[in-house]
Order: sequence, then structure tokens, then C-alpha cells
Amino acid sequence: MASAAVEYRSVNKVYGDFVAVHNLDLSILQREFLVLLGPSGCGKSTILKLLAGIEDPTAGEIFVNGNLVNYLLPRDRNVAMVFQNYALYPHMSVAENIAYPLKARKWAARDRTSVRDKVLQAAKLVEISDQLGKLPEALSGGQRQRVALARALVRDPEVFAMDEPLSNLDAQLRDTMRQHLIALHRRVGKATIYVTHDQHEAMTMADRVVVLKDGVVQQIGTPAEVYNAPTNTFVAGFVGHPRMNFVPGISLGGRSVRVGKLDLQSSCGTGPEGEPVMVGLRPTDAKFEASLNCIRGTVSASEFTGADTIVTLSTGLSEDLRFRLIDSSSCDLGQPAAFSYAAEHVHVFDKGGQRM
Amino acid sequence: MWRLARRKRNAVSLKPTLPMVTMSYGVLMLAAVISIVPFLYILSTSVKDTNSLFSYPPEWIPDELFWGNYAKLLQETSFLNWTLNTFMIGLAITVLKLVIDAMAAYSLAKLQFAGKRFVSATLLLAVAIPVAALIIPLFFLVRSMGLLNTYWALILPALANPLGIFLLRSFIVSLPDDLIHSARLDGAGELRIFAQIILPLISSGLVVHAIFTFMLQYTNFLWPLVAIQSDSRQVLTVGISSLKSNFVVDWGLISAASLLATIPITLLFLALQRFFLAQSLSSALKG
Repeated sequence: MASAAVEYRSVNKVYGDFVAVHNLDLSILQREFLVLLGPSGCGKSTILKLLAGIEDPTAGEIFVNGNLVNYLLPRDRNVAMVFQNYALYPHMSVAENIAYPLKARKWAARDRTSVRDKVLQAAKLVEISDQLGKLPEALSGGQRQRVALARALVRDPEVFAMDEPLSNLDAQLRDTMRQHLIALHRRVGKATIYVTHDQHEAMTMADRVVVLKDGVVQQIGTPAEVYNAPTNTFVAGFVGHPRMNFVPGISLGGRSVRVGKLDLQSSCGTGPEGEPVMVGLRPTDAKFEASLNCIRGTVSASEFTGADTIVTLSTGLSEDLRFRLIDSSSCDLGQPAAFSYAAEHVHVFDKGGQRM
Repeated sequence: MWRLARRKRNAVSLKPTLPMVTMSYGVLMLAAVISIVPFLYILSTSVKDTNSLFSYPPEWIPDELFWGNYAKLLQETSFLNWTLNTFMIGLAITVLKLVIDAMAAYSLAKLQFAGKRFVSATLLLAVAIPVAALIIPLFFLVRSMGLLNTYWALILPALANPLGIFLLRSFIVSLPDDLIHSARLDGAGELRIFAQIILPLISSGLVVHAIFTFMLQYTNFLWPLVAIQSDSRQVLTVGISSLKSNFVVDWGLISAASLLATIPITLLFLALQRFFLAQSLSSALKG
């Protein structure tokens, strides 16, 4: 069996009293696109910096292609990193920026032609061949990001580490660059660790997603697994837009829960009868019809987003619930409405917030 | 329409009015006159002979220009030698200080090492000590090293002034850490990062530091007076002051020397002022 491209074994990172990464065990497979997803301060960038050698772990071991890299300098780890702010050298032209990793490794002294060829090749790959003579300040955000990518590509690293590379771009450009990155990853075929706080980016790009909170891994899985079967209320609430509705309830035993005066059927067990539980209902899973697991109420708000409408329903429960409607023509403010859920879409969590 | 007119009347006018402009120009002209009058007086004195120096009423432009002061200065004194010494010492100090201060500033700004806070605090303390308080201990130190009356007596103590480290540190601190991280990942060592990434990005700071250091050495009087006794190793400031004997003061000669001494430093400032101004403006506009 081929070794993992990157492996973290019981890695911890502590700054004074603050635990940035807690007991991380994680393997990134060869050719995999792995996304670290979490809110600000959850330790996702630190995990990347530990791999790159910018930070040293307080405890634990990190392996790249089976080799322990804890004691190697950043340049000897063969990890290329793309930074959020691009980190281009502002006094060097685009070509010089791309060539810098080769020159710093004294390639230029060995073979100037080969350096030029590699720079041209990398520039062509990210489609900036016509910008090689310009300084970074003369480029747009998207072009700068491409230069940063070319600089990472040029030395043919074993692993790519990307720290929120698209977060400084506007929404439209981010969309384009996301597609470009996915295509580039397929073409280059190297293991990539990508950090983001944008769940849309994570869901659309990742082979696997790692959801983090306070330096602790909450769940590792494919985007579909993380979305459809979140392991706890944090993951359930963080992944998915609009955010999942949470309502407190009581287990009726078997696969049933009671929420207010309403009994709901779930496809999973709900624990011992009488136990308090938290029920999660995704706005996107609701069907606008009165059938199984039907929730009735009055429409109190309606937000038209273009492709769909987010309807807020007053149900008499502790909190108003939100539902997504593709067609909102039959759902007017102040009017009664009913939504229903299939049993597999009724998520039940125990009082500790863990999935049952 | 009426509402629009009222809004226009209430709007704050950003265009300066004529009295404001006149007053600004008046104040600036007064400042310019105050600055330039001593210089013109020195110029006038340097081209007068001893008799016309004290004529009454004083005349700004003498009837006949007297160049004897300049001839005497260049032929009978070591003025050229003093100038050469001043330039050599100033240049040596400037170059050495730029290298040392930039390296120290980089390590204090971007590197992590044990005792970093202690080093910073000690340097800050050294800035706070007045130069006059250091003269006597410095004299004994330099004498014990056998360096009195040598160029090193002027060069070495000047290198220990840490002010430049703080100046350059403020430039380096403002550079994003990711630039340095990126260079390390790209394969560059610390020396290469310092030379190829840091130094080019703080070039305006280096120019400012170089100008300040050179000007400080150029006008330094007290320490060269104490440390150098030989006329052949003397610098301009002390050399010019030595033209004044106990009994006779040749104001024409001293004025000629002072005027000639200001020319090189003025030319240097003019040549580098675009860096200087660019830096001042950029600091003014920083968000």
C-alpha cells in the first residue's frame, strides 16, 4: 500500500495557554484534495504552517511521503505554499517571482535554459504567459494569485499547501479561480491541503473535508458525508446554507422524538425514552407539502435570493424555523404553511451535541 | 431646485480663499528668510577683506569682491585634508552602520531568539543616554584600546549608536511575515532573504538612514575634538573651529571655510532628496 502523502501523528501546537491544535491525527492521500474547514481561530492555518515548517509542533510527528519532516528546514520539506495575501516579491517581475524558488536552490547556476523553460511552463499552466515582464503591482488580484500558483508549481513539490488563496478575490473571480484550481489539481495530480472558512469552497473543491473547531477535528469525510451525516451540532450548523434549524426535543425511544407538540420520525435511533435531545432540520431538505413529519406554522418572513426563497415560519416552538423554497409563489407572508421532512433528514443529537 | 441651492450654500468649501493663500505664503516666506539670512551673511563675509568686514553701515554686497579668504583657506590651512578625512570617516561609518543596523533590525523585527526582549530593551536604554555623558568613559575606553588620535577612534564609537536599528526595524516590521515565510519555503537562507528580499524593500529607509548618519558625522564636533589631536587626521568641524586663534578671529576665513563645508552636504541632500521626500510622504499616507 502506498504511503500517505502527508501524515500528522498526535500533533499538538500550544502558544502559552492557548491550544491551537489538539492531538491531530490526519492522513492526506496521494493526489487527494483535502480541505481544512472551520471558523477563524480554529487552527486550520496553523496545521498548514506546521506542515510547511513555518511553525514547529509542540508535540507529535509529521511525515511527508513517509519521511519525518519535524526537524527539516522549510526548504527541505518539498512543500509549496500559496498564501492568502499571495506573498509575491513586489520588487521582482512576474518571471523573477516564478523563478525565485529555482534561483534560491541555485538552479540558475546549473542551467539557465532549464530555469527559463520551467518558468514558461508554469506560467503557461496558470495562463499568465503574457504578464511575465510586469511587476506584481500592475496585476489584478486574480493574476497575482495565478503568479503565486505558478511560483508554487515551478519546483514540482510533493505537496501543495494553500492558505485561503481565494479569500481576497471578489465573488465572481473566486468562482472562476475555484474551477481553475480544481482543473489544475487534476492536471498536476499532487496532494493538496487547502484551508478555507468558506463552506461553499470546501464542498465544491474537496475530495475530503476536515471540519475543525478550537484546534480539534470535529469530522473527516467526503463533502456528502459531512453534509448528510454531521457528527455533531457544530458540524451540522457550520456546514450548509441556510444554517440548519435546531430545536430541543425529547426522545420517545426507538426512532421517534417529540418537539413541542409534534412527533417526528427519524431514520436513526433517538436514545432512551425521556432523554432530552436536539433535533436538526436542514432548510434545504424541507418539502413544501403536508405529509410525514409535517411542521405547520405561519410565514413570518420571506427572503428572495434569486434561485430560491428562504421562508421563516412561526411554529409556536422556542425558535422560528427557516425553510428553502424553490417556488415561493404559493407562500405569502402571514399565511399558514406546512413543510415536511423525510425520516432520513431528521437529524437527532444527544444533549452533548453528538449525533445519535 | 431651491433646495439644491440651499445645500450648495451650506456646503463646506475645500478651496482655499485668497486671504488664506496670502497668509500661508507670508508665513512660508518669513520662514525662508529666517533660514537663508545667516547663509547669505556668511557668503557676504567670506568675500570681504578684514577692513570692510566692520564697515558702517554694513554692506551686504561689497564694492569689490575679495577672494583672498578662499585662497588662504586652500593654500595655508589643511582644509582639503580635513574635508577628505570627514568624507572618508563619514562614508566608512555610513556603510558599516547600514550593514550592522539593517542586520540587527531584521533579527529584532522578524527572527525569534532567546533574549530578544532583553536586547531590545538594552538598545532602547542606550538611545536614552545623552552623548555628553558618554564622552569621558568613551575617552578612557578608546585610550585603553590604543586608538586615540586614529580614524578608528571616530569610526568605532559611532557604530554603537542604536538609533538606526530602531529606524530600520520600523520599516522591516511593516513587511508581511508571509514574504519571509514564502522565501524560506522557496529555498532561500536567512542571508539571501536579507539581501534579496528585505534590503530592496526597505531601500527608502536605508537612504534616509544613510543621509541622517552621514549628516550626523559631518556635523559632529565634540567627540572628534576630544579623540583627535593631530591636524592631519582632523575633521572639518574641529578644523574650522581651530582657525579661530586666542587673539585674532579671521571671520572672513572662517566664513569661507563654513561656506565651502556646506556645499558637499547640500549637494548630497539634493541628490538623495527624492528618496527622502518619497519616504516622508509614504509614512504620512500610511493607513
